Amino acid sequence: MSRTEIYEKLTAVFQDVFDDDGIEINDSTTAADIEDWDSLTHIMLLSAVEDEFGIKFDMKAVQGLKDVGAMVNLIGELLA
Amino acid sequence: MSITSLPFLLFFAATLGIYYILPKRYQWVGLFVFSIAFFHFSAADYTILYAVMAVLVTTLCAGRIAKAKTEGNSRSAKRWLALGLVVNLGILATLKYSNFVIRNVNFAATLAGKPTDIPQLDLLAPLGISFYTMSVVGYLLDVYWGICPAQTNLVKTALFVGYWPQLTSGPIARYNEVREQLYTEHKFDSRQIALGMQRMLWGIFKKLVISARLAVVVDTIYGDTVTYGGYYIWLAAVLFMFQLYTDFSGCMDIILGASECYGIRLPENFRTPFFSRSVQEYWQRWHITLGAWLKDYILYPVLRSRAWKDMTKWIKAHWGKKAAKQIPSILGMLCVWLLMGLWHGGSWNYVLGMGVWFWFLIAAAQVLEPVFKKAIALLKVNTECFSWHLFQSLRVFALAMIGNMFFRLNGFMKTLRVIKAGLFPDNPEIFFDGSLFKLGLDGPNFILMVVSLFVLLIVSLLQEKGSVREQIARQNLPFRWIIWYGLIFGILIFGMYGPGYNAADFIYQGF
Repeated sequence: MSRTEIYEKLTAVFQDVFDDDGIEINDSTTAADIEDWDSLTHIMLLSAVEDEFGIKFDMKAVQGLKDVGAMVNLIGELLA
Repeated sequence: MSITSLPFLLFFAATLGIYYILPKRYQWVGLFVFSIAFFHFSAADYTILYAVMAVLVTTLCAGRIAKAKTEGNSRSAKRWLALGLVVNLGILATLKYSNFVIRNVNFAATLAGKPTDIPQLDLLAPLGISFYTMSVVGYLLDVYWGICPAQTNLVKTALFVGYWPQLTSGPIARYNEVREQLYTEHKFDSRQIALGMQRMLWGIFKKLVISARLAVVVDTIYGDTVTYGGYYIWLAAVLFMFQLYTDFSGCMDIILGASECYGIRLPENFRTPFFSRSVQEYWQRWHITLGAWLKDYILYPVLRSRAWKDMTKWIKAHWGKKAAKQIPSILGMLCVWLLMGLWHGGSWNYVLGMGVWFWFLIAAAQVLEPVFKKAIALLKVNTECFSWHLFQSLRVFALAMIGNMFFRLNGFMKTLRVIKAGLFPDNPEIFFDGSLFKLGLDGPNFILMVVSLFVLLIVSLLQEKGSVREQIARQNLPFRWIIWYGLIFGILIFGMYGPGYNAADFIYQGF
């Protein structure tokens, strides 16, 4: 799956989890950019991403993801 | 050995001297020996055996987990992890929570009409067990998750577990945060040592000048709530918030400052918590390392567990998307807050007052958020101005204050009785007729307490802008001298360390 395709799917997941159809994400988006992105929604977001892409993040990834770019890279690696 | 006593300062000065005289590659061994000495001066010697057991089991398990992981044997890794967790948490549970269980079993048996009288145990826990057990459990999980490497050197593991500054009251350090610093070589850096000592000085000031005075008033009022009812109760409740903060954060300043002198930066535990705008934020700025630990090692694994995911799916199918977003996370938080309460002590006032109360506040804020947002929009409240921030911070302070009353008053029903004694206060005259000067502190001492709280406020406001020590370091020499000598003489003249006051009692030291 290309990064563009990952981004398309991932944007839909973000919009669903944060209940905001206007959310747009890019490589440098972090928790600070999205109002409701706290530690609880972070976990819900990751679970939704796992379900959408059929992948499983390990705890290292859960604690270590710095921004959306890192998340997209990791999704790409896990799908490869 | 209290960390505000003269013997401690001598101990610290001696260790610092030896530390920088030692060949650099043996500095970490020096820290290990200092830690043993600190334990010897501060606790019953035999209790170190529990800590030794924790070190042996942790070293063994961490090594085996890492080995099993490299061999791809996840079952074996899981078993070694389970062993490490069971032994470490088992020691903690036995030493700290046996009596809680025994009391409740006896109580339940009495309720059931078959009274039992299981005697309580008289077990002495080693210094800092609640803190180092958290570090060790986090370390084992991090090795298991591949977040940090395993330390196979027994003495190095022992230093991580028992590094003396952390033994008094934390902070709960992660292995990844300290592993490079603990074992590496540190050059003598006079600026760093000066900064570390300045921080220690501020911590001692907080403890001996501010906290010790607040303690006198709080103890007087809470010691006799029949005489001191009405507004006295709330005065004590407010002052206890500042007492706890200056006591615990003062202790952290001394510890982190001392560690900084060795060149080792431990994680921060406080970030001006009284400026928080929500209860959730308060817990991100108060006892930070404990909150972060519970989040990473309890909340995340619980929410990501199969059971929770299945529950979420079930709720989504039956009750809708909104409920599926709220309920699982609120239940996950309940696990965290019950443990937060229990961690403070095996007693219902901690479980309910420090745990369930804060869980209720955070869960209510989450559920009612849309209502609050609507109300704010409807009333056209400006949420980006000083007065609104102040209102939010005062609200958080008041709510946290109720929880801390349970913490301080040592008894669930007792706290409720005290709160009742404070309801409908009818004695406002106490603030004007000199009654406040009869609470154990005379007029000048009471005024000094108020003034020192103002000093604390000013420093806290400056802390919001960055390191106060760095801000002072940028000033001209005479001004810097006035500040630091002022602090030293402030402690020497106004510090409460004479007879009748036991400086040894740091509130979090018993944990």
